[in-house]
Amino acid sequence: MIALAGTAPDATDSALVPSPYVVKRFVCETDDTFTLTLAPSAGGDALRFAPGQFNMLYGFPAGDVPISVSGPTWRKDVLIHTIRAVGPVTKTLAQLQRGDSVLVRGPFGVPWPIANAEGQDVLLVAGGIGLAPLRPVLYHVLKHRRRYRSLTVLYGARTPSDILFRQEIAKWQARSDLRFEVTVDRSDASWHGHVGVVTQLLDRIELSPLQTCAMVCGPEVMMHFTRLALSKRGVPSSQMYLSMERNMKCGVGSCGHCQLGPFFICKDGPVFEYPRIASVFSVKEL
Amino acid sequence: MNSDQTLTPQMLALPFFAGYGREDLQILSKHCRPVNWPTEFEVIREGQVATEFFLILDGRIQVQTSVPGRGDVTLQTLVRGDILGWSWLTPNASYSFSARTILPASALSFDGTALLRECEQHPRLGYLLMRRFALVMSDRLRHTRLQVLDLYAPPRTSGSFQALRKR
Repeated sequence: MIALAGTAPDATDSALVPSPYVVKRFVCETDDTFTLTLAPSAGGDALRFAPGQFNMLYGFPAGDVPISVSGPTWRKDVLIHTIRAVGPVTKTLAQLQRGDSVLVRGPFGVPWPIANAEGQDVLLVAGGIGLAPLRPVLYHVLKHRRRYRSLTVLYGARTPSDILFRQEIAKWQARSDLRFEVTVDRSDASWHGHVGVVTQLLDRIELSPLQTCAMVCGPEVMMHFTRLALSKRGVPSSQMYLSMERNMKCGVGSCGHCQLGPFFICKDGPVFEYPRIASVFSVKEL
Repeated sequence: MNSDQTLTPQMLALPFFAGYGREDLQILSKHCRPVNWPTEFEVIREGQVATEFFLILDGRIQVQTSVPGRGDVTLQTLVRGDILGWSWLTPNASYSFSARTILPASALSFDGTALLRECEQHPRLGYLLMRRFALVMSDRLRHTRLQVLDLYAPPRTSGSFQALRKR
């Protein structure tokens, strides 16, 4: 099910009733981030999702947590989630082993505007774990490469050891139909790549601003400065999409935990066209 | 040497040269020379008297400082179109950081001391040049502030999950 930008798919049974999944694969990405590959315990197809949507994953007994899908949409048999172990639930999920069970509820939220971006230059700007929710977009654009013009990914990580999906990035950087730039805020002696913040990369790339669809995911302050840098380069705000994070619990806009001004991030987002949230974005009190 | 000889159209297309008049460009050209550096070449050294600045044309250069116990720490990477060095703008200055190539690089080296003298004689050039460097400095300051913010720092509650898996 692929939803258009600005509309969340209707909540279905799978969004309200958790389904049992089994851990097929556990990959350590960095010191605090890992990727789970989950398959339905009963066999058959996994939940269908659109790039940018998230699922609620249950880590027994700690509770549940919203995690964006980081795998490709065409993998029908599994769901792939990349998770940073920062709280009780994610630390519980971090202890899962191959064959363990986990409950999954979803998918939720408004996806990235992959259909709207067709015929345009696609610019993905990711910071830290923000690369994970954008990876399905990258897979999609690469699979349907002719539908899009140029494809650029700018990725900022804290240090070289915090870079996600290293082997895949090396393959993407070797491709001629994609520009993938990585920068780190702090380097070590082993790093010969770029050092500096991700907005610095944005200042240096060639852009056709009016033909660019920019999708940005990372810490809110990083997205704030990225948005300013995009504006400075002439990208219209209506062509900027940000993925917002709040404390999401129910996933269907009922509990109110993730309210941001007039929006429920779980239902109205997490992906927003910037003008929609301009009045509440980076408001200190919110 | 005049602008036609030193400054090629590709060079003049760089943002650094935007807005200058023909006479300004001739003066700039008079005080610059092309330079090429191999990999691992130390372009400038921290503490060295600062008389030059460089407009990077190609390659990749790391701006570094030496930290006891950590060795040379890279603070920033410069590429085509970037400026290296602004210490020459201040009297009796020395470079605050070192810079080293990590790929073969080429640049235009400008004689800052001579340019400062020209700026006294040609205030329009001086004004444009100072505005250009003010922009370079404000961009660097903005980026440095973001680096200081440590945007992707883990929350205080986080830690290595691999230690949890070993329990």
